[in-house]
Amino acid sequence: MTQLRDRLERDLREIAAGAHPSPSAWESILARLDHDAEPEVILVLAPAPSRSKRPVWLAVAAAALVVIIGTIAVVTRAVDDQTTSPADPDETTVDFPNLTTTFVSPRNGFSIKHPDGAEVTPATQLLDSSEQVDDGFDVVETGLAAVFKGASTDLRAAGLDGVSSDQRVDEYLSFDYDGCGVPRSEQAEITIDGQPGRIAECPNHIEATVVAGGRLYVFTLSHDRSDPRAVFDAFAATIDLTPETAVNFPAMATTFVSPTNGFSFKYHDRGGLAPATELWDPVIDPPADTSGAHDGPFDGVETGYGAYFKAASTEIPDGVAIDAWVDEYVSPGGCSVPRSQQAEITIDGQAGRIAECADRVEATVVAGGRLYFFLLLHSRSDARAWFDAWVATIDLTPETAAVP
Amino acid sequence: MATVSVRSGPDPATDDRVAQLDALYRIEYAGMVRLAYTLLASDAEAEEIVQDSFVEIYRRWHEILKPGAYLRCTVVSRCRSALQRRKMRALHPVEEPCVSAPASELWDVLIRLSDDQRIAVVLRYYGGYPASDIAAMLEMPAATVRSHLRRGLATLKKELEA
Repeated sequence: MTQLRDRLERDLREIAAGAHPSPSAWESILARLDHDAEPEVILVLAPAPSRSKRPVWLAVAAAALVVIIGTIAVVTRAVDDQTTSPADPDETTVDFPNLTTTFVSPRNGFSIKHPDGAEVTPATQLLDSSEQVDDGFDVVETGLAAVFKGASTDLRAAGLDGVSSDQRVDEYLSFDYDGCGVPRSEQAEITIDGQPGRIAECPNHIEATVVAGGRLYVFTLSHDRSDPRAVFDAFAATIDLTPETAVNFPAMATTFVSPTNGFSFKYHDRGGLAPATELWDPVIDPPADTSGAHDGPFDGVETGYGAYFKAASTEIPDGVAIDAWVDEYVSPGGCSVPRSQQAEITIDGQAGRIAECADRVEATVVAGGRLYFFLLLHSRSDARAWFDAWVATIDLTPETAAVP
Repeated sequence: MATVSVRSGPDPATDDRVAQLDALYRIEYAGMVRLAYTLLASDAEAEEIVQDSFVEIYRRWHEILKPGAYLRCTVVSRCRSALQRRKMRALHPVEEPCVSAPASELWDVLIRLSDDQRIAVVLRYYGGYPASDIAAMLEMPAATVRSHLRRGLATLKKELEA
């Protein structure tokens, strides 16, 4: 595969060299700016606003970057092909502060110790759904010319289900990490929290991978130090892998305010939002199902991760007994549990009920004279955790609901 | 007191957007044309797309935090649309009059990949972008990009080594 990649890079460069960028392109663009620009009406209110500071700080940032890069020493270290284990930090002589503070990753399924005073930025997103550099990583900025990062991904989600070969892991990693140019099978071995892994070292960068509990973990150290391996080993010796605590659903960062149903919630925006197009009347409308044929009254989010969220609300008719009414019209069967016997849940401070069955989680809650219905249709093992994370973002605003 | 004035367009001598666009042009233009050409095999189309992208950036300059990143996303997005338009016209890329197929065995195989596979392969192995960046450019999950890369590489390996 390496030969293929080398050939790809070489041949693509040759193809690209066949392009002939016009030497007069800038003049063409300038002419377009003049030609295309609409007459601009400028309203001047006393002193003109100051120009953006962006070019100034960009220049400063660029200069700083150049200085940083320029000061980075190239540190090489022969890769030891012997099996190695991270040293016990208490027994290792490293010119580095003691690792005394424990950080528990909120998403990646591990914990690690770091020096007091280190700046830790927890991961906020799935590694495979990262939208910005490092948002899938937990980042420990030590301030001592060493930045330690850790992340993990579910092997099934990464398309590596049932595959443990170095080659496949290597292939997966190669799309984002180059393993210092050393195939994983040829990298030195390392043991992290009792699990065998691989480690590669190159100038200013160390990269280790280990598989545990169906997850692929990646730990890196970017540095400008003469003792990077010792520092890496010190960090690695404090790692506890807890794949069972990892979060496999994406963070929900975008807020949706329903123009129809009197609530807002957050979701992961991948273009799957479908706002309601009509009001919900559970007495007339068929029960919510997976067909998508009767989704008009529901605000829905297709996540693309085997989970579809639906939500709606309706005015409660006068004089009805809510449990019986829900059982009859909203969710006949309610996962085979009458509402009065369902587990309790609190949504935006209101007491409600929740039922779970094989492919759905559904909750009902009353607020401001309205019945709210929140539904997750899924094919996931962590549906309840995702549903709870979603529910935690819900604000009920019955006063904003559209009325018939 | 407020005054109102009307002007007909940008004055390169006084519009700082033009100066900054010029700086971006000097850094990125040729590279973007080569990238677009590697996807489209058409000098004219590549130039047009990249120039359109610069004009768009000029218009939206104050809304854009990272002009270089925005330029790459815009160029790739426009190339992707151009490929889709070609498909809608039911014309094979190399059969278009304005398309001059590079004399390359790789190109002959590359054009047989799906558009997204081809774009992913070119961005990864010519552009050098990691899958997460490609995902942002193509507005799809990184896992999907990796899937395109895996399938694209498998096809290329099979065809080139046949």
